[in-house]
Amino acid sequence: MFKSWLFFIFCSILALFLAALLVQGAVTSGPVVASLPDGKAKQQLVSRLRLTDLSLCSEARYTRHPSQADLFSAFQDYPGSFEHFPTGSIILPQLEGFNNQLRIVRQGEN
Amino acid sequence: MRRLLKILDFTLSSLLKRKYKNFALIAVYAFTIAVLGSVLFLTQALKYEATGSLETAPDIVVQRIFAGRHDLIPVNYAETIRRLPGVKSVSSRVWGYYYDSLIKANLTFLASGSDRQTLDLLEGRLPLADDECSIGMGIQSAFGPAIGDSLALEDSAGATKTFQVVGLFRAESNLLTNDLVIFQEQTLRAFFNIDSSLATDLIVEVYNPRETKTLAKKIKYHLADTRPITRDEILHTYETLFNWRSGMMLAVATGALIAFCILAWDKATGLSAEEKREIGILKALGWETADVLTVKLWEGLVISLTSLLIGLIGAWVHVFVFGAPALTPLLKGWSVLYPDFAYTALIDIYQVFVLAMLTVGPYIACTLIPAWKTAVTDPDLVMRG
Amino acid sequence: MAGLLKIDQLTKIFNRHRPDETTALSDLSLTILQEECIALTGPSGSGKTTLLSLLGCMSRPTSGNILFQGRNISRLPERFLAQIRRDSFGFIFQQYNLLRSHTVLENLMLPLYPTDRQWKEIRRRALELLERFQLGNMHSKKITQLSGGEQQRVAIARALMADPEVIIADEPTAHLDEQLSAELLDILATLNGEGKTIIIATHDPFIYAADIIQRRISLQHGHITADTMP
Repeated sequence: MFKSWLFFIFCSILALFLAALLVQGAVTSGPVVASLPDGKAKQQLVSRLRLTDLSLCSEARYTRHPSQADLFSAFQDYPGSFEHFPTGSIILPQLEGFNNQLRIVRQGEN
Repeated sequence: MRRLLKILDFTLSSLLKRKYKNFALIAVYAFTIAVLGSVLFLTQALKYEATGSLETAPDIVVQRIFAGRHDLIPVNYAETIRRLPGVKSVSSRVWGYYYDSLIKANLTFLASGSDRQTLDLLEGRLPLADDECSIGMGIQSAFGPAIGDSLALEDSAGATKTFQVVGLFRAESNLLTNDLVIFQEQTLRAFFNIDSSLATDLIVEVYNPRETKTLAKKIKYHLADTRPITRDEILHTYETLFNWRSGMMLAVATGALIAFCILAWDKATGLSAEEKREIGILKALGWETADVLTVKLWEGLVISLTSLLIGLIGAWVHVFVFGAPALTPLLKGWSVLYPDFAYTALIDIYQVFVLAMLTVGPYIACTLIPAWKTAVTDPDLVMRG
Repeated sequence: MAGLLKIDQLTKIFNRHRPDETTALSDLSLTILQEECIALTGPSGSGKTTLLSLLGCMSRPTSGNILFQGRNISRLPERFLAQIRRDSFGFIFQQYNLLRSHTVLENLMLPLYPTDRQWKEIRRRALELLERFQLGNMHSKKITQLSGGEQQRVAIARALMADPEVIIADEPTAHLDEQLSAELLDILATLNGEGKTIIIATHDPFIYAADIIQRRISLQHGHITADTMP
């Protein structure tokens, strides 16, 4: 039975440790980032500088400002590059706000 | 209960007999879980960070689309928008990019608003004069200027201008300000040679957030060549972006997991002659099929539970203590100015449970099912050698 | 002496309805009394091992009945068979069938793991038996570190763990030299003296002719050809 108890104790220690980590994360999360140490300051920064995007990947317009880029910007950025792998294959230009539609008008129709 | 414990004890001794093999198995398994867990923790953290910080982003950004491309917007469009009921204020925003051919970095130049207050996450101050600027950490670490030094930049006319650094964004804001250079609006207009009748885009604040969508539609109606982007759309972009990203990496990692499952299956289905013999002996000694399966269940549980716990703790340490060094190349891509920032430990417990189910479940099935067949056969086979 | 095991018109067919169908035992009837010491003999393929495994509840007959202590056990569910096998039968196999990578003590305790008995109690019982077979100082050794004779004694000790009524041995001397075979016979004689029923399948004349054997049964092609009591 010795080995069983040893195993249980081992697992319990790991599980408790993990639970402590997760609970710490879960408590600080929730919808309000404002409750984080720098959350308020970050929100102030965003509103004052009128920021719209994260400066995560700066190699192209549509990866630097995914929410602002037009659909064609994916083909015309960063001098000398034709594809921004792997970011370019992960971040795509957003389709929001583009809803023009091409329509076919047959001969004789208006 | 006593029976289960004794069988667990037997299982543990059996596992320890083949300790190199089993420790190797746990290591591989834990590694797989750590990879999946890291992706999960990282994307969750980025998503919370983005959606949380950008909660205060402008209500509506209005761009002009010209020949299918984002173009400068006439400032007088603001008049049309201002007249719409529900609009609190309209202001113009000027920003652009600057490419540095030496270190091949893209910088973002942004004009600051008109107010003069300081920011919590800014050391020093925002520019107040024509030849001043504030910069993000990424620029400081790439080029090395301190407050008081100057940036020499080539403007649209090819003339070199110098700007004294008066402010430096603190590291905590890296994810938002890493590649930013802030100028006064007039300075930036002169630098990029943007006419005062034009702006990069317009920022619209509304009184009632519930009217945002309707207002966006109205703007599009009155100004057909514009593209209004609401804050919800910005948040949604990041929401889907990190799901996409997460999905992409999970897809890669799932490949690893499947490979691992095949390995586990192979190991388990090819119950070695030795293992088959052991099962036969146990049955001959009066173990029931259920007892033999209990051994296999314990075996699966011991291995997968240990791996899961080690893997998750490993993922946590990797992402939140070391900043996910193994995953940043994927996020980074070609970015020269990649923000070096600490992730805030934010966890979606639900996703952790899903991960646990997806890894522990299949493994136990992999060990249990093949043993089933051997366990139900008559034990007299062992008598025949 | 009362009838302990009674088999009635027992038939066992392997691979039934398939091209390689073989009849191992056909229409066999036999009564084994308590405290008997039986030698089961016959050429290979005569059905000795099949009969032993049926008697020991390791497999089920194709037709016919097996009565153990008056109870028909031939149609019992697997679970009960396992329990009877554990509580009432002790097996000594030709190959010893010990778990090689486990220790002597663990091997001995194996039959009683899936019971509700206390760990300490099982351990005490195992140590007692090891002491009895002069293996007391070897309990933490691995099976692979033991000599053939020692392994044989461990196998015997294991068969006695649950204090069974019947000891079933299948070619127990196949891998033993004459001295060890004699030692084994001594042990079996002692166990028989303690009231255990012993059934040995063998074609070793040394056992077949031994004094302790009270009854000799010959099998050929699944039939009993001789059943004598010397």
